[in-house]
Amino acid sequence: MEAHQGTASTDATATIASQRAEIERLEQQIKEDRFAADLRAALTTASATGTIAAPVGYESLVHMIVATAADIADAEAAALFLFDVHHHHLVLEAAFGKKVHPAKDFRNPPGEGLVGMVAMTGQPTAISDADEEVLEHAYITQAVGFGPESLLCVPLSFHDRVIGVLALMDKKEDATFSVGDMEAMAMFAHLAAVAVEQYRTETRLGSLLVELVRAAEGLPDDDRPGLTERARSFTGHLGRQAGYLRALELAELVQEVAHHGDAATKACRGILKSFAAFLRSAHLPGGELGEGPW
Amino acid sequence: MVSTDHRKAIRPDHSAPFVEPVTVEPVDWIDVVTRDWAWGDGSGAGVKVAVVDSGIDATHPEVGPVQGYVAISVDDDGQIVYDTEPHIDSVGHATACASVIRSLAPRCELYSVKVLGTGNVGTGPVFAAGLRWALNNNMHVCNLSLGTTNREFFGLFHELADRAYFGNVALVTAANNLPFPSFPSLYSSAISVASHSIQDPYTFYYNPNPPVEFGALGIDVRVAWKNHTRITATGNSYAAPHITGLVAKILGKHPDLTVFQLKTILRQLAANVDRANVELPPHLLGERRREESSRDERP
Repeated sequence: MEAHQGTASTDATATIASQRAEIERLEQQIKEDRFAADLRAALTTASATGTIAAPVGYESLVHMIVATAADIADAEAAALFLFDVHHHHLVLEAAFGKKVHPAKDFRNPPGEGLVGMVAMTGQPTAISDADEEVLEHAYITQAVGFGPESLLCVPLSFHDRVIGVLALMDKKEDATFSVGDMEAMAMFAHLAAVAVEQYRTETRLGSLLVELVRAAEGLPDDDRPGLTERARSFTGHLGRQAGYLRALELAELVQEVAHHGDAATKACRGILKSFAAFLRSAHLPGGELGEGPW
Repeated sequence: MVSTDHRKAIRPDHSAPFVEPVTVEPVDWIDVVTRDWAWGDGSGAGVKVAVVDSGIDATHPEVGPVQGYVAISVDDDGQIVYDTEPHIDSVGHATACASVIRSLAPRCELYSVKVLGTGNVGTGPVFAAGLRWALNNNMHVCNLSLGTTNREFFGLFHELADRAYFGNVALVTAANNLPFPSFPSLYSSAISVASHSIQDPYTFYYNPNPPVEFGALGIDVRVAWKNHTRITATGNSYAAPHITGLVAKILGKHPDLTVFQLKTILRQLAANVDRANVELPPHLLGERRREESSRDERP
């Protein structure tokens, strides 16, 4: 009798221990799921904000840079070269001008040709009266598809590093670019570098967040709330940036709609696309809709 | 009484020269420093000039013989490699600088220190190695139509620039006209040069508002380029070699000058320094000088 009671008691203890372990496992799973949901929400918000709040896409940004530079310097053409991620080559990112036929995936070795030289020396240079052979060896002809008669190259510097080179080609109604052009382009190149780097920084931050979510899988429990907090802080920081607040609100609305399923998302996309198409076709000046009956 | 030896022992090295009297050669008074005194028809003979750049093309007819070469690169293990075989110019930039220097100091000894276009990705360490090579190989003048904006190298270049200054090696640098500090052109030990457009290689200006101290011809300069070509170029890169050429001429005639003496001489001979205030008696109120009168009468 006593032996039977002892066995029953042991079984009950084992069952309780097993159930306790199961409860702990379920609690842990709930905690992890909640954490994952938090991070997913942060990632979604941050990514949506980055995309929606950006005033222009990357292609538009680099095109605006070369088109504006050509206009300011009275140049027939302009091209923008930026260092690749490993700083191994200067990649042709955008080119502008009637004569321009940009080479696909053009890469200029550092220190080679005029563009490479300006990137390495950090010194702006203008040349004119150059033999065709000079320009052939300057890589410019290969990059833009024609041989300019005058050329101005200025470095793009951000913080303390050269990140690329802006090239202006064929000064209109003059044989060469002036020192004034060089100084104006040096300042403009600085602004362009800031714009490019800010765009890249946002992209990198989005990637960083993705990496954080992935890395969180292997973190100890104690570290996770801190990580979630940092992710929230990051999105909060974006939200406080000038111009982001309203975009953030829009992003959250879109996110909310998306949670209602594919049909709701499709409807939302259709409405937004139609509205954007209307705005594009109407060519309304900025602010008009915001101040009007809308 | 403290013995001389004891004083030597307790003094730091840098003050040791003053333990015993050191005599130096007197220099001529400032009022006899004229262009004729400074360089006259000097050719820069015997002056070693390093062009730290993209490699000089010695076959260009406007450059002529190059007395020494070194191409500096980084190997796969991150080690600095020095190749002293003759090389070509990767871009044309060094050849352009060399042609300007040669036009002013035709008999100076040119040394091509190639730090650009050797496949280098990071310029800082290679550039520093080029400068160090020039200091270790007893150059008298270094033309640096390049610089770095990377603050990581501030200390390294400052140390090298100081070493050059104390070793009487003139570092002539192209000033950076961008809104960023550039090294070594901002160091007080360097001779920093910006551009003007007066088409006279001997016309240069003193800037009383440093860090840029001098202005030389750097706008629409006809220079030699890669593959025996010529171009018209604009940039401080082409202004610096004008001062380098003049410094070589001065050192050819006065080989023992220090860098601060060189700067003083250049300042004195600059086109915007009113030498009349030095050479002529003080201007008196109401006085109309003969020189001014004759200038006014010119068409």
